[in-house]
Amino acid sequence: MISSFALRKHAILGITARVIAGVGGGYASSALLAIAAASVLPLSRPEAAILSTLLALICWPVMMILCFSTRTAVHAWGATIAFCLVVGAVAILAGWRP
Amino acid sequence: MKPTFRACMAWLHTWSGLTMGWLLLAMTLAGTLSVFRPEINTWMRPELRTPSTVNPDMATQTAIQWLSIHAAKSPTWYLEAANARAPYVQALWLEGDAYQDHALDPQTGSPSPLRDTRGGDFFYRFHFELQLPYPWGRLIAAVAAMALVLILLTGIIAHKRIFLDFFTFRPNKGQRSWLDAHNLLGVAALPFHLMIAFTGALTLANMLMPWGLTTLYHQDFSALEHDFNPAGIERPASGKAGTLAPIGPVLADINHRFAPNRLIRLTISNPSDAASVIQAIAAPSASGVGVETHTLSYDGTTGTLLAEHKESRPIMGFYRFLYGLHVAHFAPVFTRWLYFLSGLGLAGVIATGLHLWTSKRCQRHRGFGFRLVERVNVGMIAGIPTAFACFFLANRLLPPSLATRAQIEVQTVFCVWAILLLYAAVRPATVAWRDLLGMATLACLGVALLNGLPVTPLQIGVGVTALSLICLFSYATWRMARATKEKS
Amino acid sequence: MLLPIASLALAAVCLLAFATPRQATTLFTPPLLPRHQSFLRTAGFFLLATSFLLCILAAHAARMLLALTGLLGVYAVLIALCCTAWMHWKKTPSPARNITRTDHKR
Repeated sequence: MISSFALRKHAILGITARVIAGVGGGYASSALLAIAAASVLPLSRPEAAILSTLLALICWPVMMILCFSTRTAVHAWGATIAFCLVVGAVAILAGWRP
Repeated sequence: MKPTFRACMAWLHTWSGLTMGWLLLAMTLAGTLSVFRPEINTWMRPELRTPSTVNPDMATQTAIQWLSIHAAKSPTWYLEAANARAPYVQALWLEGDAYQDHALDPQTGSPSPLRDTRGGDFFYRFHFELQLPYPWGRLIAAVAAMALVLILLTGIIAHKRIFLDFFTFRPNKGQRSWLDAHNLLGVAALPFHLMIAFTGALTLANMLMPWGLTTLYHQDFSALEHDFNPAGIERPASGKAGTLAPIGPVLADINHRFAPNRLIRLTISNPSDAASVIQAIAAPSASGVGVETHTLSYDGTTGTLLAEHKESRPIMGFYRFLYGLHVAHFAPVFTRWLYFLSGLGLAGVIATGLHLWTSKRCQRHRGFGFRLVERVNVGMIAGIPTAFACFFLANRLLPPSLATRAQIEVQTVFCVWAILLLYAAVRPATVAWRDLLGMATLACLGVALLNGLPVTPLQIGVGVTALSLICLFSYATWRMARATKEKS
Repeated sequence: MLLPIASLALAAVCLLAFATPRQATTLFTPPLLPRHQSFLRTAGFFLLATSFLLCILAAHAARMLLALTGLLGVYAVLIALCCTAWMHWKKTPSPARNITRTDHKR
């Protein structure tokens, strides 16, 4: 029988995990999206930089929303990491090196 | 999390709103006042003559003459030209380690006829620097702006009957009324709220999200500067002394090239050097919104044109458009008042939202968290307007010749704010609401009285705003006084 | 140019407010029928679209559009408060209205 205290602790852990995924992971996702977009977009340097920044600024709140709409916190982390990997791969393929 | 997507978003809206609400309220109120930055600057310097008698070019000339004598060693002078809203030249220059930021009298070019005050620039800088050292204030403000975007988006998703309840406001129904007010103010000006939050984050994006820039430019700041400001001339100081060319002909050429738009900003680099550069930036055109779309650079010692740039790149133009939407330099009077009202609306959304958090939980178990939020809410929602109003009071009550009056005015804001927060912390909430709202009423009344008889348009504007706030706060005080009597 | 556009926008917001189900049923006796509501709604959106179109065709289109967007928000709040006041007036009968009512006991 799971005690109510353990349930609460589980919930707090879940929320904390989602917050870190959304705020920290979301920021990392947006940063990687900015890098990937900047590397890939066939525009002049300042224009690519600005467009990728705009995309990144939209991405961060969206990632936060995503992290709080998945079924479990593990799913939130999974989605964030998957997004980072995909976008990071695009960036590396386009020539970026961290 | 919660069973439905909507419920999850409502939860996220509540908690991100609560954690960032107080900071966002302060930023929103300061930002809203910044819409009238030149007007507040003028109001706080009653020694200034009426705008119609000021010739902007003459004012710039006298300012440069004064700076040539008193700030000759400074590496850069930043001047904001005088105009109909601002009958003074705002000059910023580096003196040793510290920046000097003063309004220069249009007749003499000197700051001394005018009382030393931060003026409207206090609210402007506070709303994105938060009175904290660089870069921390700006970073926090940038994160807060992003949080506001998140809060708005989650609010939209969570709002179930957004179209059906569009015009609904049911007063005197407790929590229902507060939610109606929160929704009405939020939805009615939703385009403004979303725009101001996103563009606000964008203005600080080079700090918050520089990764696009760093990927393409790495550390090449001069290439970055050149791409963003193609008419900018980066010339290191030659070491040889030089005097600036007479600025009159240069200003005439600037006005000719910018016509029909006026000059908004002059940046003079290395003014006492032989390699000085004068850069001029035009105000947005009559139909334009974007900032810095037309720039000129002149050689400082000879006054010859070195470079000119009119923005035609589409994405750069879009960036300048978004920046321009936030700073609203383009806005004619009517639109400026709309920005001001919408900003007050956003402050109202945040305040009603914060109050909703407590009113939803006041029937349940009132733990430490509840009491903390309840009391800080009073100190913030009623305290910030009072503290800001005291800035205006201090400006008129402190003697004009007092040396450190600019710092004292700013310290007044934070001292009053701290005292009110402390008072709200120790008194029960209903009493604290009544008392602090009463203080807000008195503070606004003080501003209205010190404003004097509304003769000039500026005094009328300040008077109308103060009077409206007096009505709002006195009504709120009366309601809270009634609630306090009913409780006792 | 702003005055005609502002007037059109005000009319549009009023129509849209009356066409909202809650306002249509509570403000009017008898309540507006759903087909009347949708007619008013269509008319309201049509006027709204016209005001936006006029902004685009006017000089300084961008500034006009921004001013109109801000003005619509002000209208929405004012009309909502007017609807609240109207409902309040309907619910609390004035003495003059009492005389014409025949259904209360003396």
